[in-house]
Amino acid sequence: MSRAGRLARGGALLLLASVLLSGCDALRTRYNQALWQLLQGHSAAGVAELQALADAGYAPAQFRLGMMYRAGQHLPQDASLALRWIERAARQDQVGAQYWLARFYFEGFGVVSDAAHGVVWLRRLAERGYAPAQFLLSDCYEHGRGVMADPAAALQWRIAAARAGHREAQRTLAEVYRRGGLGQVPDPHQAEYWQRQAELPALF
Amino acid sequence: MSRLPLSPILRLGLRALLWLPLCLALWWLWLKSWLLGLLYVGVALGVEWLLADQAYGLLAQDQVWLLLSSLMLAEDPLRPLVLMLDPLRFTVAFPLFWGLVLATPGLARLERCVQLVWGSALLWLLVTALLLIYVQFKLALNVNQQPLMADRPSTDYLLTLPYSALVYYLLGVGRQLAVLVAPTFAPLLLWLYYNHRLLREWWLTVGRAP
Repeated sequence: MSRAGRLARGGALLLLASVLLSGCDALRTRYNQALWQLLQGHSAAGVAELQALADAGYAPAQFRLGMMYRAGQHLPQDASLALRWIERAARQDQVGAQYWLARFYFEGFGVVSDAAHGVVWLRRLAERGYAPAQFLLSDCYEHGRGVMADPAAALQWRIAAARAGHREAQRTLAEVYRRGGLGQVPDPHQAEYWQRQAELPALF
Repeated sequence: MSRLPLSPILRLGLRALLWLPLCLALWWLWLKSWLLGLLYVGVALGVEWLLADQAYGLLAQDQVWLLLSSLMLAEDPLRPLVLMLDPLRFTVAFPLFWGLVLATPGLARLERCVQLVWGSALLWLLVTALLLIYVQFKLALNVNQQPLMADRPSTDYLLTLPYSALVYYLLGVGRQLAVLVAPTFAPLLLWLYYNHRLLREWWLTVGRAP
């Protein structure tokens, strides 16, 4: 066999090996198939598959099912079922579920409104580096929602979210430094820096 | 100095002036859709297997591909991220390679055919890999929500944790290689690999020239 032939065969084997190694997640495959069915309008089959996966403890399916119960998509709206599935997924560290569970507690969706509980879930996510949770947590500390008002903590989480690229956090942080707030005296340089970050164009 | 020792290189240059524009024209007028179709098969399979945790399908709409991501936007009601991909620029590697092979003087017909077929197959594998790197970068861009290289993310936040700064930067470097460097240099390197003996002979001929 020629060198080019050997090269091609090596490349094909490498591709096949990586395909076999990465394609072993049977639950993920079933989950993707269920989403595909929903997308194509086969609601009954898609929902049945999602339900089976959620029952088997697969967190992405639990989250998806919970959100479908919340919105009444492919299923009748049911707040208590939505909360149940989202809570199960959140306990498995599913990012989306933790974020939405916090919002359920703030909104009182399927549960008595309890901002303090919402903050607990937000904090978990914020500590894992999720910028939208960091920004919401900052907002809670600023306005004393579910937690004692604490300008220093609000600033700390606002900066964390801004550094993680959260545009709204960058804009509001620029505003904080421009007018003074959250225990800060006005600082035009910082204000300009964060305003520029919020409007950052492509680098090159 | 005699013109004879330089003639293979001059012939290569002159033939390239003919074949490269011809291949590029053929690619642009007739072959790009066909090449996109071939690449779509490999990339769709790669997305399904290698990026299954972030995407569940690829749809081709003329010259644009839609990546159906399983990553959800932080919106109510929940909806998935759909990315529009422009894969056309990656197919330019093929006409460049074909033009170089067809312009190479002194190749037997069979050898030229073998280079065209095997080279195109290798390029197909390589360009498929480059497209997968590009897809991974586009997903990472929208996950991390920070502008990187020449790309900007959409304004929607996804319900997933960001990549670490180092991984994100490396994906950006991969994007530069996949989009800017490899589609142009890969055909040239592949042509050099196939014809290095011929080039060495020419070089030695030039070296021996009085």
